[in-house]
Amino acid sequence: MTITIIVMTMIVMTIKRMTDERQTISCKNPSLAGFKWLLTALSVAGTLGLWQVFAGNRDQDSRVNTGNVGNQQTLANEFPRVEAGVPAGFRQFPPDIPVKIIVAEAQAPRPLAVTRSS
Amino acid sequence: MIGQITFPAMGCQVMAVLDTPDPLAIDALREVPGWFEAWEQRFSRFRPDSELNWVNRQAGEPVRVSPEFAEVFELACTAAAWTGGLVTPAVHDALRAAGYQRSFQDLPVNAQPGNTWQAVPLMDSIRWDPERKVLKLPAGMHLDFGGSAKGWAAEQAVRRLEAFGEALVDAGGDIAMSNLMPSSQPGSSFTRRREPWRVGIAAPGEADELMTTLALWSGGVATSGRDRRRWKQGVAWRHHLIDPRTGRPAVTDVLIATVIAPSLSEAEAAAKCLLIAGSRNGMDWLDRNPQLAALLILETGSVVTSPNLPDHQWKELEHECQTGSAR
Repeated sequence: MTITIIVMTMIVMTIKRMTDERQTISCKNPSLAGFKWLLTALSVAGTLGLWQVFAGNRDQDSRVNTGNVGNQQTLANEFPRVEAGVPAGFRQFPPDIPVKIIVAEAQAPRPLAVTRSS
Repeated sequence: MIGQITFPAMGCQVMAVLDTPDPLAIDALREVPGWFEAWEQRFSRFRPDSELNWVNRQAGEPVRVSPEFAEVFELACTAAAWTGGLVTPAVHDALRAAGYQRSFQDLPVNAQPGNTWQAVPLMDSIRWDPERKVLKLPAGMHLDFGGSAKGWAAEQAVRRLEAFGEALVDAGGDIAMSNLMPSSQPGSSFTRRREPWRVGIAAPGEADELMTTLALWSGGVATSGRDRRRWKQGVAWRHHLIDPRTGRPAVTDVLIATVIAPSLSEAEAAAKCLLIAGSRNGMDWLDRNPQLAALLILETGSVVTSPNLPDHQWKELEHECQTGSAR
């Protein structure tokens, strides 16, 4: 990205210098005009290139930094948990939660589940 | 036998189904509400004493998290990398700014306006040590696992129930299923029913109509949408699907996205990604992920599907023949 910014800065400065020259010197050289068009095209391409760099960075930025974090001293910060895992019945649901159980014979059709916005 | 239990958890209605030859195994279903309660206590941002809120309060300091927290965090990181950052757990503050400050059941129709719109922090500002399960969020950053935790919980419940039979868990429309039978090995007296799970895709809104019915043998299916779970903030409707590029609820041409995937975690992340990306970019992304099948309902009411969706649709005659025939 740094290289793209440097290249774009150079292009802009060159265009500015040429514009300044045009004000002082009457220039009718067609090859110079062509060169200006080339610089403008390069500038547009540079802008698009810069956008691509940003677009690419979004992908890179979506990854976390993995590696060693902190030291043993700071790791006193530990969530006070009751047990290491979540064993069956670890925390009983309150008895007032409406739980409904239905049991059907083996040959009964399986119930229909429905996926919806959640 | 087929046992079915329904109960409220994680802000939605959960249904767990167990298809087993052992009548005593049906009792395993009674454990499921307890599992969900424990997981909700760990991952809810609406419970002040949850592990998630504890981690968020420690932002700026390294903290050691539980194995379950580590698993869900890594799932969320995988989803962020897979979707190019469109699906990220770093949307906590943006959700609050959009007015989603309490659980959906308790959210007033007209939510309090947030202070200001919040830019969504990038994931590369997080430090994570997977070996020691040590996490360091940058100061001021907060996580919200949202649907990732719900999907993970449904998958965990299916894995536990698989010990007793074929299982399906539907957590508010995010559905994980198994069709693996541990005892269906050579010499076992049990033969597996050759019947897929039937999963309907709900039509937009609150009606009970279905767009279509799927026949699924395993994996997961999830739906993300803006038709339900929305609220008003001032005069504007808001919803919970934040576009991290703007920090605001996503505005695209996709109203609802349903995805079928090899796992519920993938389906959940992909459905969100399609909704946030919009139909054109979303379908391009889907082309690069042929393991997924999708159905999109657009704002205009038109329906867009992936070419492989018919492979998953219920075909009545075919399944009538298979039902009851043992392998």
